[in-house]
Amino acid sequence: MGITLPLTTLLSALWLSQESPIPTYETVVTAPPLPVRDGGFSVGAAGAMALPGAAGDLGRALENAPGVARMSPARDGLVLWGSTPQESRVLFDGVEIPALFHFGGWRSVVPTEALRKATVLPGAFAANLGRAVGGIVEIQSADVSAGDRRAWLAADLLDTSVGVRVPIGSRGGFLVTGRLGYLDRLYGAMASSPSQALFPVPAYRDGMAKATLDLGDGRRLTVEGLAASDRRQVALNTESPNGRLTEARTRNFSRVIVRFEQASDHGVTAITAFAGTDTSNLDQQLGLVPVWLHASTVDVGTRLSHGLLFGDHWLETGLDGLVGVSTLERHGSLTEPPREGDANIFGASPGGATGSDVWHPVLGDIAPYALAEFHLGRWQLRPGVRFAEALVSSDRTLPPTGLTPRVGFSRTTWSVEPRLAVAAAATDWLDLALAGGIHHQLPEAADLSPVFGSPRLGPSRGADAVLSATLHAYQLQVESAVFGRKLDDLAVRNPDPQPPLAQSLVQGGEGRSYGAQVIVRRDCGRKGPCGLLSYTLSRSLRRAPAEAEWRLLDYDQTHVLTAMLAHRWRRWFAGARLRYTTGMPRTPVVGAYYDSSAGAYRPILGLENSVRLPAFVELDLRAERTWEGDSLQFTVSLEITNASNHANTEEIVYSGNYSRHAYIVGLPLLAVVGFRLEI
Amino acid sequence: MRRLAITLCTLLALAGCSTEIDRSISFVDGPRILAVRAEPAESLPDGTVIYSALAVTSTGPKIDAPIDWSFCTSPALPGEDGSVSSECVVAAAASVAIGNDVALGTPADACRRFGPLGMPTKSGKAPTQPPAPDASGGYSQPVRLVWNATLTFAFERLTCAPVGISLDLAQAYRNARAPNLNPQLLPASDLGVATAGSAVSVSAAWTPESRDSYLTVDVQQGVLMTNTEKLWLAWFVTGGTLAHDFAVAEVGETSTTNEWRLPDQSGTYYLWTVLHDSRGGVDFSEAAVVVP
Repeated sequence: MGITLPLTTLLSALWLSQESPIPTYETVVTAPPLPVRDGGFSVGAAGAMALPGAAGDLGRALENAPGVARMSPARDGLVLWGSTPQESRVLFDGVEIPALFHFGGWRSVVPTEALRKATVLPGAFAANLGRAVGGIVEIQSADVSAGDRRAWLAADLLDTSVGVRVPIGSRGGFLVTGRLGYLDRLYGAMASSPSQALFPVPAYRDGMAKATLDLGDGRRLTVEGLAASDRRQVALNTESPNGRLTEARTRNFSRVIVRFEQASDHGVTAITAFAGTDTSNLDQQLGLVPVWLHASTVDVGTRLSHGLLFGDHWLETGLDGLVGVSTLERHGSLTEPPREGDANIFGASPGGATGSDVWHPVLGDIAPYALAEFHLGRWQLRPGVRFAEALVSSDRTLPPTGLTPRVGFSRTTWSVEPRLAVAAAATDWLDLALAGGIHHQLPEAADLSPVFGSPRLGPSRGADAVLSATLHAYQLQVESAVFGRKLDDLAVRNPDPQPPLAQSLVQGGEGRSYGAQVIVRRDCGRKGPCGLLSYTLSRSLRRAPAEAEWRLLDYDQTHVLTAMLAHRWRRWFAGARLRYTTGMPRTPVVGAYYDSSAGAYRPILGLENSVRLPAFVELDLRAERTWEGDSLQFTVSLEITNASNHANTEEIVYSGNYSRHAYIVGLPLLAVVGFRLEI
Repeated sequence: MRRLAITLCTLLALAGCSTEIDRSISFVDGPRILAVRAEPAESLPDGTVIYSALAVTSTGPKIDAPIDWSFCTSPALPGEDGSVSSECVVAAAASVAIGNDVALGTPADACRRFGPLGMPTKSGKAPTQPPAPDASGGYSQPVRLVWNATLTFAFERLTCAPVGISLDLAQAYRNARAPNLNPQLLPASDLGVATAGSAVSVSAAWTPESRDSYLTVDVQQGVLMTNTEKLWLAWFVTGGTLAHDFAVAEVGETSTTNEWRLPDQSGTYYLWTVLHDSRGGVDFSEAAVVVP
């Protein structure tokens, strides 16, 4: 199989809508579909529902991808090629959203039934994407079209989702879905009051609606709405008042997206406009130190693209703009919540230093871009460039004081982000590709506080490259790659013991990650065996300014191995997934001192991230049986997580004086029964 | 990030979070300094403070412990998660006194190093970020104590002039504020003789004045705010087990009780009670029981 020719977005949509309902993986297809192999990985929604270990969730199926580390204990997002979740971006139909998962990482923010596919691009992505020095996770909603009439109901221990697709006349379609998580309520009904206080479970809900209207002559109008809400409460009582924790976290976001597309034999034009709100609240009392961080942002953005097909070649120009107007209020501990690189210890109360600030940053960028794809015999060339003008603005340059007037600032910076991918069909069974680029990412709004961060921060910078080889042999596909990433200008804690005013953070952090990945897979057909073997070897390092030594990234995992085998037989589908990952780094405790004022011991730390948790090993099993009638389909599934009941270490916990330690282990064997009814 | 794992722990506990480790610190099995009382509880830079350490061992109080006292001179780095800088933890500072009860002069530059004034900068250099206040809005000078290979830090609350507020507000603050006072435990009752393995009810009481009110300045709003201290109590024993190690006193509460299950072996066992207020004030008391 050689390199495929580019297709237009609409042709691509038509092709993908015919994909098999059986687990299917495919290499990256972005908009427009780019056949250059650049380390990406996609999963179709229909296939993801049956994958063992994914619990029927498309986002969780991406954990099988090479270059993706196992999620951290906080389960706050995917770690791609050694970048933190905060350094990657999640796109829903091309529009940035704040998270892929609900709290706890059990579910994606959109039900799988309402999605078409998910793609993870750990790096080296094309010029039409940006704002991330890490990777991109892209989820695409399901197509709705005239003649598509369907309804579904899916339920299991975690949640229930319902949805319906109906035609709009003869030229359009409408999809609406909603989901309610209730594990917290089920547990509440079963557990005693103290247990409820001790063992919180995240509560979540989400909804999505999408309408598409075919306007004729290749024109199509799509209107989408997406909203998700999360809530989590923790009450942890310990003997010491310094170890007591009460915490409430909420996160809500919404997006409204309007897209107009026009396709012809020669190209595609797409105009997308969107607006949305993000709110997140953290209210915490850890020991005697209070923390609250309230943030709300109004996002407005647009994405314009025009692609032309001339001969075998493709040329696309576009404009990608996004601005977020935020209000943030933070009070309490300077070190809570901790940042990547903070050498804190599980269960240790934070230092007593506190601060307070309210600030109103405006962050955005506008990025014209151009990319082309040339096919020259067995060669394919995809150059691209993205010009990004970033705006960083806020209303405060110095910590608040009663007499000093509030003085704001506004800065713009231009950056050029060249991207290049070259692919060659070396033989009929071997493709080779080289891809890379330069990327920039705006600072986090929460880091621009003159009390907790620094208003001086600007965009951070990343450069990455990947060399890949893809073999097609028999019914197997083998994709291997070596990758590297260099990050500069990262916002990190100021290493100066007496930093200048309003510079608790500085922009001098560096990051390096490199490794190799390979995936061998056999796509599932309508019957027979299928599976994948995915392995990543990587090392991710960070360094603060003026530091000579590199340290391991908090999320670093040297080995990530996933093996999945499944088999479809008549109406049965059964499979198993085995995962092995290196334990995450931790900072050792080498002693302790007694804080007589707090009445608690404080740890004395060794070299940061110089020890690791034990390795993680988990076997997941899944089986499902489907009954099909004339107009309905009913599926019952059983998913067993950690079937071998392996005691996986998730964290180290210390005795009160830090002289002894024990491990907190993760989930034991957990069986979840679910069903899905489709009409 | 990692502390979020507490949530994970609690979530995992739904199915079996394993944390079989003793977090209690109430059992005294070796030399320890359980508390340090400073008199006065709050001082001006250059002021003289008398420090009394509650030094104990597994066999009882140590009233003449040769404690090595020194001042910490480095504020914590931004992001350092302890109560003092790692430099003060690791490096031995110059000793200023040896003994159990000592009188020390608070460093003259304490409000610059650890207070809101910030260190002076050279001409043309940007002003430095002063250390942040604690949760009660105050600042403290860390004092380092080394005894029998144990490291302890005490904190002397500082009287520092507020910065960044109007002269009128600063004047109002100076006129209305009062320095912190140590809370006062009432004398502990004698426990006498008790049977081995029995449960003894112990109590602690303190004066109503132990819970002070104090002023803080809201620099954003430019107003003075009145706050009330929090009080909590820690218990320590040389043998047996306690029903609980700590007690947080509710507002209006002036006493609390605990249950001490005595050891099965005969001997003299000690109980220490340490009362803290949220501005660093401390008082402590001692009781003994004889198990025949």
